Amino acid sequence: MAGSGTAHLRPRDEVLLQAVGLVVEFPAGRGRTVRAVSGVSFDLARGETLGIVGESGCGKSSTARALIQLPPPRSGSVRLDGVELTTLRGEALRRTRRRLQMIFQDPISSLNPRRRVRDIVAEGPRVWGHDGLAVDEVLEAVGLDPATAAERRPHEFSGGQCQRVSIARALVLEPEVVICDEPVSALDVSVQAQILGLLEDLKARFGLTLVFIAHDLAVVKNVSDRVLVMYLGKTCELAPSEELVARPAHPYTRALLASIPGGGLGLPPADRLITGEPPSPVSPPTGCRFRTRCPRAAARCAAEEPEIRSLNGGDHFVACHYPDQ
Amino acid sequence: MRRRLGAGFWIAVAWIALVLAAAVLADLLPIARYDETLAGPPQAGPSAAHPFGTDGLGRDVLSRVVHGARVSLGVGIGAVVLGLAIGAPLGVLAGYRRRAADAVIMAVNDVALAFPALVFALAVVAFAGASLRNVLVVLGVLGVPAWTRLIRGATLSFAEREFVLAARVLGVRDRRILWREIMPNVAVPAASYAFVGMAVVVVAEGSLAFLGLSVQAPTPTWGGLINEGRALMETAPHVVLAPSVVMFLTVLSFNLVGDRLRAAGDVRPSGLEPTRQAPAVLPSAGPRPLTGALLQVDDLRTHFLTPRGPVKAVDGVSFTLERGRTLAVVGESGSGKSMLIRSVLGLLPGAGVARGGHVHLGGDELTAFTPERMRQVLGRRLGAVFQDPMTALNPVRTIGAQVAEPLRVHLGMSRRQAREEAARLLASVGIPDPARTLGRYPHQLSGGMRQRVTIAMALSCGPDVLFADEPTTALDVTVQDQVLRLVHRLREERDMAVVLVSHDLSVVRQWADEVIVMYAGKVVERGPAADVFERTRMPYTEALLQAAPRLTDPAHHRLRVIPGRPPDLAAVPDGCAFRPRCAYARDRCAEQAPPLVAEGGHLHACWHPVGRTMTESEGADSHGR
Repeated sequence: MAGSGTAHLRPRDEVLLQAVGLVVEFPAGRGRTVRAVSGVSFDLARGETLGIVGESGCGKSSTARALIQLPPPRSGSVRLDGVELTTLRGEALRRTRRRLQMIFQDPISSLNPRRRVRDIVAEGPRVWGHDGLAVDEVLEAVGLDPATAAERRPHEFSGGQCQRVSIARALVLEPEVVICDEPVSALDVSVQAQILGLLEDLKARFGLTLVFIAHDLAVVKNVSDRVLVMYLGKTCELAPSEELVARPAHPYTRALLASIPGGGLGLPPADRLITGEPPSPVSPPTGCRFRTRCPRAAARCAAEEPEIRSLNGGDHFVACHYPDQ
Repeated sequence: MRRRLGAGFWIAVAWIALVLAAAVLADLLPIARYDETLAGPPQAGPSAAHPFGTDGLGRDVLSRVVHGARVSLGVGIGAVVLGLAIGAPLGVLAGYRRRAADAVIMAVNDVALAFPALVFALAVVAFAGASLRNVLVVLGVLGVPAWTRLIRGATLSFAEREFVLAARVLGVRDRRILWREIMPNVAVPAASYAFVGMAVVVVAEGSLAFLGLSVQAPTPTWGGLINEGRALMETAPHVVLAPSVVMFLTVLSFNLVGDRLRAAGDVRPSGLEPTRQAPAVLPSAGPRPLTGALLQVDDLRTHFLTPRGPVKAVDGVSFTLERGRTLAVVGESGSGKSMLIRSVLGLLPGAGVARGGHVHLGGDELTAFTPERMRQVLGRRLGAVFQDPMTALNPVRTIGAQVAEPLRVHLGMSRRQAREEAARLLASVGIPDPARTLGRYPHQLSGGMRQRVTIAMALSCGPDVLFADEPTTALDVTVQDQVLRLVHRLREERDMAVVLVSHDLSVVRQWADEVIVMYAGKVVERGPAADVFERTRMPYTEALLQAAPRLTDPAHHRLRVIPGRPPDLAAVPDGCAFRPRCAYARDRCAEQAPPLVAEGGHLHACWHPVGRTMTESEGADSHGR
């Protein structure tokens, strides 16, 4: 789409987490509204990793926050294991929400500078009355030595180590779904590989289901089973990660892939697939939101928003009037 | 990480402690009673019996100053505690709850802040009566708006941090989040402000007392003592000087303590803070014979002199660069790649740095230039673009004024000429509607457009070499592609050389002709891009290439992990700096640092270089643009 629709959703009883028609909006001052997410739907089967990729302003982080109800979406539904989160309030929400945990981009800002690592990781079990894994066990699982690391404060660690502490904090309550919002974007490439490997190990060991959000398609493809491409608050394409990279159908996905230097995918140069810069989410284009930058845009794209539909009758979905077949 | 507080801080603390102790223990001290007249001869100067002398009635001035401290410090501390007790909960409520609570509290607060505080205090004290309690309450309440604003701001800045969000996802209740996550962070700026606030209140109380609107005689107060002494200024200046000096030192101390606490609260990594020493020149071999290259760098060294020892940010880097070529400098954070660029450009702090080596541009030795001559070279012959275009542009000046400035300064163009040229430059970097963009401000442009503007500025005087330090790291990938294409096109059009600094190997692979791989301040591999990427020799380069995910790899492909992390530049291991992380390391690597050896135009610094080629091990890889 940049479009809407739910053709790509699987039956409710087969999935662990299901988001339907998420809408996130913020006031932008002077009576205007930022349309951060406009009707995005997806689901996750247990043990699956869903990658969400897109450029800044595409609404991927707002989508992550909507899943944990911080803040709740303006409209739409988030169901975890059959429980509707958007209508829960107070204690019930607090109790259910802890089954989702989150890892953030900025390793420094995600840890309280005045607390020790042990306190940071032990906060969850303490709040829930030691209902979780042992702190030392989790620290070891993320590759930190409890004997030396636990009594130190975040500033004594590198960015990669801070990210390990964040992961330990997220895991200690044994969550079912972990939402990773750009977890490696601030890290050097050698450290990035460590953290990506760690996430894969932990996913297998603790039986996690992951939502992995990033702007780097190569990183997302590396860890994801399926990838959702977002543009300006809408869904463009959803496909298994190999399929998405091998046969990108949406013009935006193709442009994104072609923009990656040395991608080696045989796509035309990116400057022939995309022009200009993203419009403001305060006044998004009518119809397909990508049409202002799309070389294939036609009159129909401005008039009519494309619905998500299956491309191959199977698991490759696209929201475009004129996809690449 | 934490700054040292310094001797001044501790002297100030000692003074406050001394005054406080004297005030508390005033009745027990072996000094005359403050109201005992004719304790000594009237208006006598300082003596052993009366260190501060006596006043017009023969009362001991020291005793009166010490007792006056009870009022001054009592009001100072009491008013701050009162203001904090009322203002802090309001500020926390407004900052954490936001919405309606914030709107109401801050609206009332803004009205309160508009009151002329001291006039209000005068009026209230004059009306309600001048007593210690009234003065304390009035000054305390007057401080509430400032406290509310400060605590709200601090709360707000932490309430939006991810660690607070993480606590909420863990299921931590609001009260505990406030107490455990936010309060410890707000406490430091609050403590700092408390001391500054005490200084303000001590002065305010002094002013009221001077006007006779504080605690009434016979209880002495500092302001009252100064007022009394005023009449004797000609005959017995010590009567007015003693309380004045004590008050001055106390206020100064409060301010100093508050100031230092604030600085100490800035938690930041340190280690690169230069000591105050004159710039030193490191010994280096004389320049190699000039090769006639456009840019020739020989044995360039930049060491920061820190309390932990020299930090060798750039340690013996040499390269040459010809027109029409792009040299990429690649490495992880802390490898010294950005510092290398700054060293070549001469953009280093004057103090705390030792430098060595030679930089020649078209036959001129830049390293021998005075700062004045170097300024002529920067902008005219060397252009530079940095990572964050927002900090490179002045937010309060229009794009037109900023692009035209180098044209007027360096090329002596008239205002009109410069404006026309600026519009042409903006058009050449692909900015739509350049004439209109000239009148806009940086914040009105997108990140990609801002970076295009900084490129236009760097190119305005037709430099020979364009230095681009992570020019696209802050940009989206589709915009990154546009900007790198632009740089490449401009290089061709203008026959420039480009030095591209990047952490992103795929960017370097696509756009560079020659590559320098840096590790711990040194070049570990250098050569034509094709050689470095396809026939990699240095294990670090190989590991970096295999650590980066590629689209052509299958999903869930295990990336090569480089154990550990880059070394601390103040304590680089002996021998090869990469040894602790290297899979091929042997004994020799720990003993001797490998020299940079050449195999044709391809250099590497490794005792056990990798033999196999990337192409064989990784399969065919597309390379080219």
